[in-house]
Amino acid sequence: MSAPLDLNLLAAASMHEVKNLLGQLTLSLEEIAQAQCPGTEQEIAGARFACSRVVDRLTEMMILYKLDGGHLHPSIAAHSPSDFLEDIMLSAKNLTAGRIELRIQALDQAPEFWFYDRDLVESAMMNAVHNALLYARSWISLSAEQNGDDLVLRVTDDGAGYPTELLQARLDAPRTSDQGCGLGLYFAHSVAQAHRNQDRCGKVLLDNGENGGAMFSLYLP
Amino acid sequence: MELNFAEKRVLIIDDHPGMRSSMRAILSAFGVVFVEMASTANEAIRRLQAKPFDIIICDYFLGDGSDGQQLLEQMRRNNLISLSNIFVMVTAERVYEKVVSAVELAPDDYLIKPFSGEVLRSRLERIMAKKHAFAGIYKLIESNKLAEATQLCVELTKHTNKYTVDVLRLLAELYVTQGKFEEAQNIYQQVVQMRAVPWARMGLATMFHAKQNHQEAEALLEEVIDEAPEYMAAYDLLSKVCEAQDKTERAQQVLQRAVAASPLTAHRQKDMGQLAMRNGDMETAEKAFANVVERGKTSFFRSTEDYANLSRVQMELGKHTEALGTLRDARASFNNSPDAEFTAAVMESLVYQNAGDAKASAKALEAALALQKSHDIKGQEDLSLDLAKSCFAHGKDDEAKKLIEKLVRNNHDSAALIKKAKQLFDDAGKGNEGRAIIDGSVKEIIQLNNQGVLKAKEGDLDGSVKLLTEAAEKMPENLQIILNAAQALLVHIDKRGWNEDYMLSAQRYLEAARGKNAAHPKFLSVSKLAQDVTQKYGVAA
Repeated sequence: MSAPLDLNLLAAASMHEVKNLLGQLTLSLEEIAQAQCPGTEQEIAGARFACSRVVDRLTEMMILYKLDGGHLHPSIAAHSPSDFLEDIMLSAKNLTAGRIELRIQALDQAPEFWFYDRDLVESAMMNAVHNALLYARSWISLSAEQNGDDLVLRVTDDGAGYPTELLQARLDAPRTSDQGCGLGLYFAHSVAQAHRNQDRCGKVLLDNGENGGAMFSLYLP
Repeated sequence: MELNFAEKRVLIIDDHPGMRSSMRAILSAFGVVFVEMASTANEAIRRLQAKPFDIIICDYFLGDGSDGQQLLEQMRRNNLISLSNIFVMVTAERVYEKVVSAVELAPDDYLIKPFSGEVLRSRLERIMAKKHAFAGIYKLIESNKLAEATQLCVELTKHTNKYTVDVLRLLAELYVTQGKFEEAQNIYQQVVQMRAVPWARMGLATMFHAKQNHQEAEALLEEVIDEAPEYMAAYDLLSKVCEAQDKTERAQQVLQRAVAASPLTAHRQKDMGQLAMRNGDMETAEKAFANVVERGKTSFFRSTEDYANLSRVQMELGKHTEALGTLRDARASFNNSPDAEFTAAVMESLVYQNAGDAKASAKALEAALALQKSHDIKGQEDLSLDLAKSCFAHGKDDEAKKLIEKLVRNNHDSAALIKKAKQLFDDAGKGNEGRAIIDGSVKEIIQLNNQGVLKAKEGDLDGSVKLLTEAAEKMPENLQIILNAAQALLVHIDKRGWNEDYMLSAQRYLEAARGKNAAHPKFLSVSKLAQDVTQKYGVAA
């Protein structure tokens, strides 16, 4: 008798394979971009954006997939929030080809270092940046500042802002919607919750800014 | 910070040809000209042995059963890369993030695939900026000026910046190397108070262990393993802590858990084999040693000792044919080097003896003794004990006694060795005679040491030098003796004037001590003395 098919294992293996293939595809795109054919910048940026979103969605799936028992285990180390935001901006710039302006704000407000899981937080932030890239009119702004005992990482844009039902929604369960932003927010929420320092844990706040654009804030204790 | 990538020599290590060429294309886009590539760990080591590289970019999964973290540790331990070289790990999966937060030797950074060329460039530039900020400290460490390096670290911790936590970690490690456990413990405590990161708690546990504070170490390590089960070094230390409390069964269980999680690390398999042998669990010991031998076949870092261990346990299990096969493999694997021939001959003499073939055993013993005479072989301690055992079995009691006496003289402060040596005499039915010889040797050395030190204190520097250098010539492997001899020579120069011959002898002893234990506090203090004395007389070191 053959062993029963382990669908979970198969799914995990397939996701890894797809993600690695996408990795190679991304590298091929780099080589195409280096050839610098005039007039292809927007298309290449668009292709990169698509790849990046697929990779991030897969990554989130894989991380959440291990969530089974509701336990996401961050690897905490000291990182420089300002270096961290610069990396995110570099990755994001690649995805717009100059269509949207990316800024980093008030880095002098950021602490020199903070303890968090760089990769988990980067995934959560990139997800917010992807959303902002979809909805921003002309700019996206990133910021990091210390607020009491928390580091607050923020992604703001000049789009139409979050719809009211999303502002009122609970983030502790994935939602399904036509826009498909449910998993990303649930993931960011889980990452924030997994960051614990003594008796406090992180949180995600959604809001609309003074200009009406979306404002995503990740609080890390 | 403006950086010239055109001057940098880069080594790319990846088992996937497509990834290697893509990486090369990315690097060339930001001006890297000099790139070499390796597809396996061994190829990478060959290239590093041939010439140095400024930047190494290594994939975590290397296909041939090894991983990038093991490769990094081998490179650092064998001084194939220096503190100023850059090592970046590349990985497709997030598992490495767990690994990196829990290793003693971390890479400078790691990147998760896929990443853009801009991100790689920005990371490399940031590492270079950090190396630049640490350059002064690295230079002092590499020229062994640890006190000065420590001072510089302390200065840097006074101003908080993004490197603060890295400086604290380096500072704690420097204190540990200099044997300043109290200071190191304070630093680790300081970091833990900021955030209980695994490496800082591990550092604390290491300090508890160093201070023989076994219970506290054990409790803390249990916590670390509970929270970060991927922290392999925590299992290694917990096993040592258990062993120090004579809980050898538990020590073996702890290592078994680590081996199950990460079966490829040879040194842990070796430790487990030894523990299992002590516990009489020969099957486990055989499996572990067989693994070590198997891993060694494809690695640069292997020794004849691995084969000796395997054949020893096979012999204990009565598998004589297998044991002899293992020894044949040892000869072939090391191209019949004198060291391999000696190892094989010693073990063969015991295996044949066990199998009841006294004639073959005697022949092997003769071969071993002849090799030792003709080649000045520094066999490992266990092998020397085995040789003595075989000598006893063949009535060569004088040779056996001489061998054991020499071993004891060179390791008079090793309780484990003394215990084994006494056991050997007991087994040969000469327990009382053995105890007299061993205890006598130990006592003699302690007296010699004390006399030498006392003479120096009383101002008889000539007498101190004479006594201790004579002892050092007799016991060239005894760390305490050779360091005291070096110190006597240096104090003589310091107080009585420059003496070229004395300085040369002192340096020879220091070199020998460095080979035995470069982290020994006494070695560091005598090295410092050598530097000071050299400086005092204005002689170029």
